[in-house]
Amino acid sequence: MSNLRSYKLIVCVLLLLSVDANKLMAQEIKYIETGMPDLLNPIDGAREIVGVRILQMLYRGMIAPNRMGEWEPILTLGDPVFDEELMTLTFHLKEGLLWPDGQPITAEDVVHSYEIYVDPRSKYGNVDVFENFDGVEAVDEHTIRFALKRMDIRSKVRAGFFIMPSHLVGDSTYIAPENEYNRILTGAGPYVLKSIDENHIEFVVNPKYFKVPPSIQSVQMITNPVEDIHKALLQAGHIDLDPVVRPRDLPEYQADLNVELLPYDSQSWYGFAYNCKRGILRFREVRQALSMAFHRAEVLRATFADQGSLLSGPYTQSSPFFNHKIRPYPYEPGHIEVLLDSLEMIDTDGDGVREFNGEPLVLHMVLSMRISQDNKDICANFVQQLKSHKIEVIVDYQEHNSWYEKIFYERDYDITFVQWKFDNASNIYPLFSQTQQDPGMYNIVQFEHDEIEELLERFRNTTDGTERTEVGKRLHELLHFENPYTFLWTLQHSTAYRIDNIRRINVDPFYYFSYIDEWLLEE
Amino acid sequence: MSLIRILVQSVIKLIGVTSLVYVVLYCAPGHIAIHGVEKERSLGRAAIDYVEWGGKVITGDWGYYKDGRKISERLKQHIPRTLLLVGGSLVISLLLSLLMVLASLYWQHMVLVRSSITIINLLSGIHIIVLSYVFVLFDWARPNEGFSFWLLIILALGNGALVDYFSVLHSQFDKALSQDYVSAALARGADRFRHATRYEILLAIVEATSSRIPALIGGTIIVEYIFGYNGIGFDIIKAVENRHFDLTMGVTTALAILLIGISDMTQFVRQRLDPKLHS
Amino acid sequence: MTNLSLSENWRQARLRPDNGVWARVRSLGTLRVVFVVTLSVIYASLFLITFLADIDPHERFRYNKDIVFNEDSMLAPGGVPGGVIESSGVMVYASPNEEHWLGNDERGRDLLVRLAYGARTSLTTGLVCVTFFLIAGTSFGVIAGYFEGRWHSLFVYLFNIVNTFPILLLLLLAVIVIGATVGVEFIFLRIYLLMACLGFFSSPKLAELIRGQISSLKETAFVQASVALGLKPYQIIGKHILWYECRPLIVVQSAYMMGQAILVETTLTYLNFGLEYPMVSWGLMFRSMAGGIMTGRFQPVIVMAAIALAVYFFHYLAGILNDLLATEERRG
Repeated sequence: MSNLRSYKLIVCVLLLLSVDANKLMAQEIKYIETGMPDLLNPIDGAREIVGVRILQMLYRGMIAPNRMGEWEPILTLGDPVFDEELMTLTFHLKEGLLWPDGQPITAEDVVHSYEIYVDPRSKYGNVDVFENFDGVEAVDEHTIRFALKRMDIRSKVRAGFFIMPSHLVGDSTYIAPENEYNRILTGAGPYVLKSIDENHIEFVVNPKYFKVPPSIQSVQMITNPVEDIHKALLQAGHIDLDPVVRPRDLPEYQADLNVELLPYDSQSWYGFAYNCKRGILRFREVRQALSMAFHRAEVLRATFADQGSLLSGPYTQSSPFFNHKIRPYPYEPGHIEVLLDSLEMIDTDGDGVREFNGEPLVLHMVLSMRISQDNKDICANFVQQLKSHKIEVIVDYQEHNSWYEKIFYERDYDITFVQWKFDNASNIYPLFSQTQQDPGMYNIVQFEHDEIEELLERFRNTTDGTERTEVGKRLHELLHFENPYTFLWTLQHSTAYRIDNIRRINVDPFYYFSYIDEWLLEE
Repeated sequence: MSLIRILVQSVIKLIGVTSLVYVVLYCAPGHIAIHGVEKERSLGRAAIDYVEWGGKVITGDWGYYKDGRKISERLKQHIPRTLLLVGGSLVISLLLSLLMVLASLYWQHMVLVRSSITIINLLSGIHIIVLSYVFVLFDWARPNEGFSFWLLIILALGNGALVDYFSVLHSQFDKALSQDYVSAALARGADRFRHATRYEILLAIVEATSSRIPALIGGTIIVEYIFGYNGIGFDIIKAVENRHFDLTMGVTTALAILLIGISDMTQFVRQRLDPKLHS
Repeated sequence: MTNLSLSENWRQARLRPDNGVWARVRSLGTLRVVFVVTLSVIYASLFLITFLADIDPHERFRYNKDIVFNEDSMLAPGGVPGGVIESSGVMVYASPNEEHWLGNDERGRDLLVRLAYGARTSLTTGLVCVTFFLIAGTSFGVIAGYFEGRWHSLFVYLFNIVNTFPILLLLLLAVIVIGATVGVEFIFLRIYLLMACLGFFSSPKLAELIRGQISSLKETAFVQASVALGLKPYQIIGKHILWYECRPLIVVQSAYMMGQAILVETTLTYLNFGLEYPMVSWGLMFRSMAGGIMTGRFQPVIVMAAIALAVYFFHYLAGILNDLLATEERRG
């Protein structure tokens, strides 16, 4: 009798365990963002950081950086091979790779994807990375050969673009908004799209994923523009993860035993961009004065609780091109007066605003309504501090689309606030080269400088690592001096997640979800 | 007035509203993302383009949004979601206000009833944004999840409608109950509720509902924004943020059809219910 | 008959509670009157202070060890009152103290000063709204009421159409047009233009009421007599109808409209379509501190209370003015 009771007890325990196992198998995680790009294909989605995170769930390239920053093969058999003259680069895809619908991943898909990236209609923001490629061909079903314009052993890095299925995208090398592919978004990543609407995406595990499938079967992304709500939802357990937490919320998360914070480098920098071809901003001294007029250290401390570091140029401290000899512009009110007075920008009529050539010194700052409240406060601080130095700034908040047009197409602004995010390539060429000033391109400050232009070309073309580092540091120094931006800071971001649901979380600073296939759900 | 005449009037109103909005947006200087080739913007050009646009709308081509989806498809999905919110708010507000009116008729001497009515009057003054935050604070609003989510959005939205319904119904009930024949019937022990339910009550409900709908649609803009709910309110915000001409016109046209339709149908129902108007 | 002095008259009147000021106050509702009068004094003071005193509403304050906090003030971990970001030294969400009577907001700025400036902005924008509301509503109402036939029908038709649409939708359309049209040199005008649009779009309600009054009074004896006496239509409408008959209606609707304007400004600013720095408004304060509701901060509650009190103030003011003017008419 007692044996029977024990037997029943064991069966009950096993049944309970099996119920738990079933529950685990079906588990999902839910995370939240403030918004979503309108288009999520690899070209358009990459314009916003939310899109970059989503794309990482769905797509992979032939090669990708590992945790050490070293580029390693993902979909290829080993490293790519150069020919003897180092003028071609050949990749061999692994055998048996399949798209989620069962179709094979072939060289033709890679070639077609490359052609989409470089098609002028796509307006890919980082098209400059393909500058050294002189064409690509599918040698056979699994072999792709890139022709190079010049010898460059770093060319393999440029081939890390996301691969798209040509049979689903269609024949065109431009993904128009009406293309059905925008609704099905298939890639070689760990997840596939199950459903998508304006503020909700559901991903499920890719059945044909080339590696061990992730243990998290389903991921849901929801959007809510109100950041206050994000915290409430995470703490209440209605979502499991918030990729970017506001600094003001950190203390509350720290006090919450169910939530864990994971800091990571944002790999981005924030700055005030100056239109270097307009009015008094043509003068370097004026731009320097504006940088000195802003007490960045105090604002960083007050707004972001020192969760970041001040910048002296376009490279962050973790970059090999960061020039340690260059210090950020200090807050020096006295020096500003000297600089501006030397340019004969003086308040002659005593109205509290300086004049130049008889005209009052009034600058127009154009901002997007979509920037966060923290960044709005930073801009407000900047304007106030300039006002104390008798420089009037009129702030014009525009709807996001209108702001984008004014800044990126029309260049109709004096000052604006921007955030630039970089992957490991740290490519600043699009931001400062004279050749990148056309409408839609990223040299929004319309900066021109012969020596810097030459250095940018050298930086891009040189294969010598040492020379490259030296050039990078010199660029950092010169751009600090010329000051087309007030280089504000780089921030340390934190992600918050519920420890009662997820563990072993590891994030990539740029792509975020690179290692999601290693995350585990709490048992 | 016959139904056909009302329909004709509705169409005229619709054309009037949409043409005015079209011309104003078209002719406003500055950047409004007009889908299609850039044309020289003038009043004459606007009129011609309006006719062309109207023809497309009738045939179902409402244009495309930036994500490549048809605006008509987008609206087809979002309008029912908003109508569900608005309808739900109206139903809940009506039921609650009827309950309050009945309570005040039968138990007006009770402190509990009087203080509940006072509290609800005070609560109606609370801004919808605040109420929505309070719901989130008390962990009631689960994103896109089930009955509690819907119920609370509906309550946040219907808060203002509650007091309107209550005051209208209360005054109608009072008016009906003050009639001589009702007093006589009550003196003979008849139930007050049964004798107060005349068509004036129905008429009052119809009028209060119709007058409340524009404000509720306005409220959905805020509620959908806070709760991340995909409805037409969210589309309005998108249209304004992006200054997207086609989406703005699509949303305006859809709402114009809805609201003018409701307003004119209310007028029709009023005429049927109110013998004075009918004669 | 004894000739009493003025002071004796007053004393005698005071002793007779049925006469004079107190009787009027009681008839209007003592609490209501006290509420309205108190808030009127507060608003007037705040208005004056913001003009006369040289205070910067954007100034952020740091902790000063000489500042005294109330014993029961809320303390954050570490014993620093209210401070969330202690390392910066800025008085973020600080409790009330002797230098900042209502405490500090999420950026360490004085809450009371910002409430004062916010009151000024909210009331100013409300006044702009009410001005356009009155001008448009009265004009349309008079035209619709005076003219018969097609004009009358046209105006009634137009009123119905505008009333059919949500005000917020119409305002958002106005945001698009104003944002596209008004250049950066006149950027300060944008919010006032929006408020003018609010007044304009809300005017059909007033116009309908005035139209109704004019239509119903057209056939009355005193109007007929005025016509017979040779008074011009503008004299009859302006003095006899609008001033004498419609005055309570206009004043009450205007008061309600002020409350509405404050709520609409808050809503638009919350949605990022209204005011921005360098202006200060209750809507801006609410937007930046709204999250504090969920973390138990009292500062957003104060802002919400200020907005609610302002709305109730105008609501009760409307009621009192209505009663006062109606009583005057009955006496007259």
